Order: sequence, then C-alpha cells, then structure tokens
Amino acid sequence: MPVVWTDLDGGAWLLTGRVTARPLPRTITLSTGGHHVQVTGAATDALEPGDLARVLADVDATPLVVTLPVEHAFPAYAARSVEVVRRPSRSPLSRGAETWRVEVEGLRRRLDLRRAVIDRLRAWMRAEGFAEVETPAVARCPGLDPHLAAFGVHGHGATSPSGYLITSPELHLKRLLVGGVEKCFELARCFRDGELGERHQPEFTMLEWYRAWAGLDDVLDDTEAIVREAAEAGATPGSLTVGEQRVPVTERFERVTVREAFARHAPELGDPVELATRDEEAYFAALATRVEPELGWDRPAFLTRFPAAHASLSRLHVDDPTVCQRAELYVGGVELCNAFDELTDPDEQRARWAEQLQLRARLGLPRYPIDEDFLAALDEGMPPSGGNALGVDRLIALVGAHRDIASAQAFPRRGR
Amino acid sequence: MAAIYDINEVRKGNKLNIDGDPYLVTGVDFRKPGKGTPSTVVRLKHMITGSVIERTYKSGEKLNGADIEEREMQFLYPEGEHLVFMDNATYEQMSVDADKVEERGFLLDNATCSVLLYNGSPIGITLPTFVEMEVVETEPGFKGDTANNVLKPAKLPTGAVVQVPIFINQGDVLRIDTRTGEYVERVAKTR
Repeated sequence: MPVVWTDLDGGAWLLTGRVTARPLPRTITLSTGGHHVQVTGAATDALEPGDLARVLADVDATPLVVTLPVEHAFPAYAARSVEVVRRPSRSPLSRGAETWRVEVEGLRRRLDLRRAVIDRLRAWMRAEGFAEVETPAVARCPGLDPHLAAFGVHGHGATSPSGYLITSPELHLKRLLVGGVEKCFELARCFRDGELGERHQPEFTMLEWYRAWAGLDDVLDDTEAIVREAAEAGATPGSLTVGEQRVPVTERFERVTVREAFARHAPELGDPVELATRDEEAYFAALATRVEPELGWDRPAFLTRFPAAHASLSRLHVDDPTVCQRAELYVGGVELCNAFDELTDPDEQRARWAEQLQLRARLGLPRYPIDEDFLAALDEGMPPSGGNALGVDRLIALVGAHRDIASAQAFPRRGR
Repeated sequence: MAAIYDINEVRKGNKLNIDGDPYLVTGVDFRKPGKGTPSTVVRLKHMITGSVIERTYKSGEKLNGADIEEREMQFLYPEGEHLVFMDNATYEQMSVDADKVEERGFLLDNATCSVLLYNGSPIGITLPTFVEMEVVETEPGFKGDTANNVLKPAKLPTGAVVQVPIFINQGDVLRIDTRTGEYVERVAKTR
C-alpha cells in the first residue's frame, strides 16, 4: 500500500484523495499521488466525482473487479464513513478523469525530474569546491545590456522604480570574487521582461558560477561535466533530447568560432564580425534563424569568438581584438549558456557601459544607473576569472525531452 | 476592416494577410540570441492552398490581419460547376465553385454549412460534422451478424460510398462523420 494512506489501529485505513470516478452505483475511485483505489458501500453515495475526500475503510475481501471496466480495477476497500473535505464549484475533472490523472502524473514526473537535475548540479558544484551563495533578487542597478528589459520594483507609493529584479546575478557574484569568495555559484531566479517563447520565460532559473584564477577553457570544461551530470537524471542517460533527436553528450563537445559557423551555414554573408558592426540586425537575424538552429546536433557545440561589439562583460582576445573571449553552448540548436573570460579592467568596463547607455538612449530605452559599487570592486582588483551562466530550465527541458521550457516549470507564463 | 497586429501580439490561430494571401498562424516562436536582438518566427498555413511557410519578423514589426469572415449558409441547389448557398442572416445568395467542397458527397439539400469568406469571396466550406443519410445500395446484411471489424461498401443517395459493417442493410439510415467520411453508427433500421 502506498505510504500516503494511513493504516489505523483496528484494521481500518484512512484513505485521502480526489474522487475521480463513479464506475458503478455505490462505488467510487479515489486517487492520490498516482495511486488509485476502488471504494464501495452505501457511504460513498455522499461523494461526487471531483470531491476532495477522506474515507475510513476496510480492505474489501470481495472486490468488484470482474464487473468493473479495467481502468477502474484497483485495490478494493469497503467504506465505513466518508467526509467531503471540499466539493469544488468547478470540477477539476470537467475534461475527464483520465485526462486529470494523466495531467497530475505528468506534473509530478516533470517536477521530480526538475528536482533530480538541480540536485545533481548542486552536488557537482559542491564536490568541486564551489561555495553556494545567495545574492539580492532586487538590485539598484540592473545590467545595461540594451537587449534585456528589467522589471522595475516600486517602493510603497513610489511612481518610479527604486530597484529592479535582476536579469542575472552576475554583478553581485563578481563582487564576491573581489571579496575573496573565489569559487562560487548561485542557482538564481532571474527575470526578463518581454521574453516569452518555447525557450523563454520571463522568470527562470540560472546556474551561474565563477572560478577565480581561471579562464574560459576552464569553465567550458566545467560546463561539459555539468551537462553530462544532468543528462544522468533523464530517461536516456548519456544524451539529451531535442524534439525527436537524441544528442549524445559523452564525447568532448565541439568548439566552433562564430566565423567558422557563419562560413558553414550563411557563407554569402561574408565575415560575420564585420557584418556585426556594419548591419547588426542582419547579423543577429542570421545568427538566430540560420546559424544557431544548425549547431550541436551530433554532439553539443560551443560557439566561440563572438564579435568584439558583443563582448558584453568579457575580455577581448589578445591575439585578435576584433573578437572576444565569450562562448555559448548549443545542443540541437538550443542555446544553454553564456561563458566569459571575465573583463576585470574598471576603465574599460566604464567605457563599455557608457557606450551601452548611449545606445539605450538612442533606442529610447529606460536609463538605468551605472553600478558604481561594481566599478569600485573592479578597481580594488578582481582576479582573472572564468564565469558561466547556464539556463537551468532549458537544461531540464533537454534532459526530460520536453517540447518547451514551460514544461520544466510548475507555474510557467502561457500567454503574453 | 481587418486588424493590425504588432508582432508581439501575434498568436496561434490568428489569420494574417501576407503579400495579399490569407494565412493561418500555426505557430509562433520567440528567438533571441544571447546579447542580441529578438526575432519572432511565425509558421503560416495558406488558407486556400494549404501550403506552409515560415516568416521571421523583428520586434516592432506590424502585420495585417486577413479580412476573413465565417458565415452560416444553407445549401440550396447545384448549378453546373457551382453550388448555390444562401446566407442564413441576410438571405443573400452566393455561388461557390463545386471543387471548393471536398466532401461534396455528404452535402445534403438545405444543410447549414459554415462558409469562410476572404475579402468577401468564399474560400472554404465546412459541412455539418455529422450527417444522416440512407443507404440506397449495399450487399444484404447477415441476420444476427453484428461483427464490427468486417466492412463492406454502401452507396448513399448522392453517389458517395462509405465503408460500413456487414450488418447494415439497404434502407438503413447512417450517421456519417463528414470530416473523415467514416461511418459512425446506425440511427434507423429497415424492417
């Protein structure tokens, strides 16, 4: 018997759950936690399908299985008494008991998988010696990336936001690096306004980690290990699933530069680094619709050496300053993370932000304040570091072969 | 006047006018490269030919809704290559190409159909989901044989042929699903 039901003294069972069917008169099916029982007896007449109920019952030695349709042939009980805990005004079974059971089971399975993946990520991080930290969800200065929109947080009665929900925990985590917490990670809830699609939710979970005294290659190695670890939680260990396609993760992941990827998948556009400066929109459109969808089908692929114009908070390459030390991982066309060899120079950081603020003004976007605390921390000295931010919901979706990241969340946003 | 949609508002099920043709939105996907500008990929199905295309839009782009209207009309009579329908609300009559109605064999006189109009012209007719029709010709059934898995052809008054269980007799009235052209059940029996 499932542990969710209690064996009382005197041989009676306390059964709790949802009444999901009445296959025969004086017979109901009670369901909870993926288990179903059949309860008979006059007392069950007080129950209706859809009710949340408590039933005190004895094991029935003469079950009605033979007369019941197979889908109701569950372990049988005879009711002593019943109690309606709640009779909903709109029955959750309105679309059918079987649909309800399938949906409940699906939700439980998806949440179990989510927990299993997150447990593995956390265990791997801890075993590697990363300190788990928590940083503020509301920041005074959100990132200045012109392509990210932060939700404003209004104080009591205020007309303008006094803070913003973070779009990533990056700036706080880096201040911890300066403060001496040199290997740290956070499973952070992040918020991005206006992002909703198969791979986007306005509220999502990011695994973000930093290694001081390390570089991009080190965090890419971390990423390979983490993705392999997560894949173990799925039904097909050793691979992730995109649509119908399995992508094995056991081999070393591919590394492909932006220039190589465009040469393969959009050759007539010429040099993408040059295109990104000349016609940024054309570059992003080709990246999103022609290049990204082709990446990481035989094995996951890191896209590296992004144009310097999109360095964000990464260092430029020493041997080629037209590109930066930034990488993204793709599995079957799905982008999973964004890694940097982190920019540590406060003057260059200030100059990049000034540029982004100008761009924001030109695009008519809200003007966020510059994070002077962060610049002061860089001035104090941030060790050379590698960092990565990985979309946990996307990773779970690939481990669970979900069709969208909404399926990885308990309460996704469905419509805009 | 048809609606104008911002690309952010486009949803599955919207009907759009793309280069002058009516399309049904069958999927919308928001794509955004890291540190980049978003684009929205819209999957579209041509409402007349059924051909499928994909279009990519940048944020802020505007799309025109298709001027599509659905009206209840009654089938009156065939006229050469055309079928004549009457609008149930306005009593206005309209002539429709017979080949626009794929399930012609299940179209009964006076049946109320749903007619899809694009810029005022009919582009599709949806028959009532179920129709009841009499069998005019079939092999005789075997008495007492109610096996469901053996089928035989039965001819209907319109000339259409459906596969029916062998217990069906000439003169029986059948319910037929017009979407699949399949027999559903027997609603009346000959003596």
